[in-house]
Amino acid sequence: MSPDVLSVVLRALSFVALLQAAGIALFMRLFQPFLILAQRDIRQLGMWSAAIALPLLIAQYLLEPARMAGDFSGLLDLSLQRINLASLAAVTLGVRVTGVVLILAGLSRAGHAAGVLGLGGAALVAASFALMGHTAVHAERSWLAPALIIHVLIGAFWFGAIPGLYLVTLREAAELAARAVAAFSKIAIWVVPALAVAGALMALVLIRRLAVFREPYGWLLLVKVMGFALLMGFAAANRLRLGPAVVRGATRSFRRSLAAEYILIAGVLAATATMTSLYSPEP
Amino acid sequence: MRFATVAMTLAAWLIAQSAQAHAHLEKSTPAEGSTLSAPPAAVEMTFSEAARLTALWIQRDQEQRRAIKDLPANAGTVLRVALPVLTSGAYVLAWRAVGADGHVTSGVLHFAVSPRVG
Repeated sequence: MSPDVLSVVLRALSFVALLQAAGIALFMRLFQPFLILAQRDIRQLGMWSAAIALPLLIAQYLLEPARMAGDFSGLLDLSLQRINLASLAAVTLGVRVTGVVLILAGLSRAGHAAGVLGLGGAALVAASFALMGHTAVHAERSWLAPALIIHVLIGAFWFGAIPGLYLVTLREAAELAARAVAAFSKIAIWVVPALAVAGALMALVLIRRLAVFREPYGWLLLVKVMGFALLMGFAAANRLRLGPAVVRGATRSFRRSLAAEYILIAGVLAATATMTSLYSPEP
Repeated sequence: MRFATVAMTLAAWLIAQSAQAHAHLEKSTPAEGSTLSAPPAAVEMTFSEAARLTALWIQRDQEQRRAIKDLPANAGTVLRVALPVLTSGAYVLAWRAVGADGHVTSGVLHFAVSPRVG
């Protein structure tokens, strides 16, 4: 396995763990009134996600000298390690680790202050994505970077809500679970389109050549768009049919739909990790 | 809660302003796909952003590729690297660089040396 491939694998896994941790921190804060029996399990899942994210983030960062060298001998190259330490990759790692630690602190206990810590951690995690990459250097950076942060934050909210709602429908009484699902739908109907709008705006500005859709970057972008379209299908089914059935205790189909959404979003995150690690919209 | 939200949003925006982007190769001498009548003594690479070369290899035809060790110590948008003495043949110059943002980019450059040209 080449350092590039290993880096993509680590990056994809870190995206999943990171956004799940951030998303669960957001879920805990926003859906606290609906969490009685499920709270402990959701909190623990968030903490495990954060704990798993940490070594993945560090491993991906430490692998960068191997990518610089083109082979694993770079891991032992002190001059490349120094370059890595002086780069914004180190700053990004620092911000992400700080975010993860805040999320861990926020999820480790209940209460308002803990909730704010978790929110702060989620915000830092989202902001870290704007520290590197095409979005951040563009002439329109002053609004592109916030668009990316919004895009990531909403993605984290969605990704974290999936296991949250899964556990809520598994543990809580039907009436309470139904209220949680309805509350999620009320938020999702506004924020999910905002995620799409933010993503579309970034694509419109960053992609200047139609030829990019004949290249890997463009193909992976299309994979993301198709993944999103499929997710919208699941979301519509949940909102119109499966979600409302939760109040009658019919939760199995809803949870199966949530599982499918989770896999799709993880796939989208993997596509994102690949395109941002290896490819560029520029020729 | 409202203050915390505003503070976090502002911090996130400020953090985002400091970022950079990938560096990619805009042009080179020898140019991509060029055929030269005399072997070049050096390669000059112009990047879209300041970049630091971290690895450079040269390969002639089907031979084993050779690493070029003496790379510029500093980052720059135009980087010049001395090449070993080259003979006639088709060459592939493979490079890796890191931009100011820490993103690693890579690429290959093809050129040929043929005394019959020109």
